[in-house]
Amino acid sequence: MVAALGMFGAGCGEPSFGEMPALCAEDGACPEGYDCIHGVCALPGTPVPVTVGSVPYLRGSDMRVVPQASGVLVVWETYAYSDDGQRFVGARVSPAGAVSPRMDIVGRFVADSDSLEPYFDVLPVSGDRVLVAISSPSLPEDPSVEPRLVTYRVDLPPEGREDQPAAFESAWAKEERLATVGYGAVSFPKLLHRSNRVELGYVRSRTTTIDNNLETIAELAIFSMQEDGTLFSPDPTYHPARANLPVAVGVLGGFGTSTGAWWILDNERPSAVLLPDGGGEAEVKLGRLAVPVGADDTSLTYIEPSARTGDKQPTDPVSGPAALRTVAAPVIGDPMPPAETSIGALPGLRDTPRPAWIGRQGAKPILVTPGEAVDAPELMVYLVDPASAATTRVASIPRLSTRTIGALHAVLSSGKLFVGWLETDETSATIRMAILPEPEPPAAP
Amino acid sequence: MIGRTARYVWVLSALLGAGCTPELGDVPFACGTGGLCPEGYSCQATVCVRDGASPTSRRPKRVAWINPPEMFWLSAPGGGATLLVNDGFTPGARGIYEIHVAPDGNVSEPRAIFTYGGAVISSAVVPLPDGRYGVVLVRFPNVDSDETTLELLGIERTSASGSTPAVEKLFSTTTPFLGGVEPPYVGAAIDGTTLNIAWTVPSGGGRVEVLHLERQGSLWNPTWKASASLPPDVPPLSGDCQLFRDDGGVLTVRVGFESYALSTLDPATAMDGMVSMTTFAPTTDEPLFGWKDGVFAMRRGDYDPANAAFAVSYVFTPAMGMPTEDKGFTMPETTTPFVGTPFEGGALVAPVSRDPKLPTVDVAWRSPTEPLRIVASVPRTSTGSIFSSRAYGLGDKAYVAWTEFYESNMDLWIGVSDLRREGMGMLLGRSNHVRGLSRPVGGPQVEKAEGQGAP
Repeated sequence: MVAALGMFGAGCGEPSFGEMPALCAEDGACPEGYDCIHGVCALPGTPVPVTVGSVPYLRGSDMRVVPQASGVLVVWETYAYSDDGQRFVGARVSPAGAVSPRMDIVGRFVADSDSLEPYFDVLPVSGDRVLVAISSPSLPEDPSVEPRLVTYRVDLPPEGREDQPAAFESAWAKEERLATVGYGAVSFPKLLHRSNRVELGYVRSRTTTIDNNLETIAELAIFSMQEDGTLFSPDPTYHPARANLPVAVGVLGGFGTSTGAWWILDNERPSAVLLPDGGGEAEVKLGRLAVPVGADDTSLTYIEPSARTGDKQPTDPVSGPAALRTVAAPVIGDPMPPAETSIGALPGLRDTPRPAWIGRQGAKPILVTPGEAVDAPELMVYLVDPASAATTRVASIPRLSTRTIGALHAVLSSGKLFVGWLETDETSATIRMAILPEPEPPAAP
Repeated sequence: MIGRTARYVWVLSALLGAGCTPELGDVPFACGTGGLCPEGYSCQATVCVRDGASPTSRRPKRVAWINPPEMFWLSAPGGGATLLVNDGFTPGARGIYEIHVAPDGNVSEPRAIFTYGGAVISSAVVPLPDGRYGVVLVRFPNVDSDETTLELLGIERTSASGSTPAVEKLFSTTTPFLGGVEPPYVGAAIDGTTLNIAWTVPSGGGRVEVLHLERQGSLWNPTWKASASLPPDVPPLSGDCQLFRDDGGVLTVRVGFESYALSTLDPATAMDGMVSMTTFAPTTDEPLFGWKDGVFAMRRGDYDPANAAFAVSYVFTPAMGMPTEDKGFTMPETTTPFVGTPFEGGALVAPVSRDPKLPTVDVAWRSPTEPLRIVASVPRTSTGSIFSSRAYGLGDKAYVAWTEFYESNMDLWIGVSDLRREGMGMLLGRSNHVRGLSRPVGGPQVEKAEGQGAP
């Protein structure tokens, strides 16, 4: 292909080959003016994506990207009914875009191949250690239908030595069983690093009697652990949640502040539960499909995505602008809903896949989104003014694909912006990643 | 042979054109685009059938998935029966489909009578007294709403060719949406101009409600509602309901997904708009039908890994007295009869077999006063694992629908068999010979039996 393109240099003027005209030659050669980037001849600086992993099927919720010492770790799941069996696996990606061999992160986990697939979350805690929290439906032989919850500690091999096996073990003495009001009602678990400890959030649902009335309720369970995953106490703290809202939900996010933590429950009818370190809890109901992106002691900031149209399912079209909004921290015991403020309009963007947002000290936040189309050919990278929501598009990432985007993640590491996404069709699911320089990094102190 | 894709039609057409005349059999493969079949074959309900052949079973539909309760039989005007099936999972083709089945086994092309987008819905279908289909739907809300909706729709059975059947909303009610992936199953039973619907409301700890609707003029209005709290083993979001009505009008509600419980209520006792339901009684069996006088259930025994099947027995537990158990049967691990259908004072259940390979789909009948007996048998031309089955008795025929796994999809099969009601021997509960090893030719095979359950 490159040789053929070379013919055009033999007196035909200056043809335009486009941004990515061809694959690189075997020796990495490309036409003049193009660089060989990850095997593709592209204009210099083009964030050509690499493939991190590929499986026959992967849910959008079953992919994570977390920072490492110099690159990132991408973690995903293979299912009990697949050829690989139930595992949690991963690969590191270096700042240069090199993808390590696939590693078993949690190489064995018992799951029912005929039941709902497990959920998980990953949190790097120190060095090459990560914690992996897994929630899963009960097993056929279990005497009850209560879902299972457990945390593993995993010591990964040093960066560059992914040919060595990871070492994993359960950080808990036993799997915890939590109440549920449905066979498939298993919460997403969420790990949150809080200064010198780690918290795990999980929503349990149950029936109970309140004021002589039987009720179906939800509670946010918080397990507090040491940084190696050891529980401080076998018993979590429970906080009432989801009043007048669906109770079979999961924990979608968590934000630590100097005085407590915000926990984000559910994606379609989300709520935010504020748990001050001094005790108590307060919950605020958010707008439909709201995507919280940051929080501090006094407020929570969230994206109100473009409105779904058609049948209003996650993959249906969306239309209209999005918006950036804040809600004040609720006051414990105060029934009045806290004040909400509109910051400003954002470009149209869909709720699924969930947009990626990176808050930065001393610099504008980064927003990554495919925009309105679930199969958009490129991902847009914006800088957002947190005071006005004014956006500046600073990069576009060509996907080289129009398959459906099932998930999107973005992480900063070593001065690079790592953007990972999952694209799917009926027969396969592929995790791809693009690396580009961190846009407008904070000024050096 | 069934299941090859249309591309093979082109290959075989080329062979036929080249002077080759391979023996394709009576039902070699699926029709090509536009109903294309080789010469000498015609496309019948998506499958190429040799001219003059009368296959014992037909495959009118290939789908992504059909849930076990979502097959409903009704008698068809003008003869034969109609199967309504709710396909809630095939992308771009979700809906309720009508398939007419003639007594000779001929099957019509599926026709969508109600299509829907969005998430899957659960349904139940009854024949309305005005000739329409009464379709009960339970659907979760989209993101804009917070209510799960139960609706009764009246859908015309016949329409001008090419037009969409009219749909009338006859009744609806809602309950707060508390989450979940799929709505729980809903049960319905009609008696002339009264309709009972059983569903689970997850709020307040979860309870089953039986809604009693009566036709008043052109409208259907609720006249009373009964409810009972869910038993402890049935979670509020997993309260799948089925409703059985015996000839005396007594209703039995079955609730649960993997653990079941039963409650009964008698609409004839309604007073001042109230009817009592008995407290749900858990059972370790899988109830298939209920009458005032007892419950008919399947009981799973030991698992046989060599055959990937369970030893099962069929138990009738009378309201008073000792249970009667017919042993010696088998059920593949992928298969569930799910429920029986009422027929002449008893219930028809399928598949019932002693052969884990299920070479035939046998139909059994049981009543509170008559023992279990095989009354019909449909030979299979396919070999996929059966998921679920539903039998229906009408006149001297048994109409049987079943779903089979096919790769990552599911095939819907239909067959018709003669129904034997008289002169049958009784089933031997401890039969020492294995039946069903060879396909019967002609009519159904009936066991001569003696022993448990014999009058």
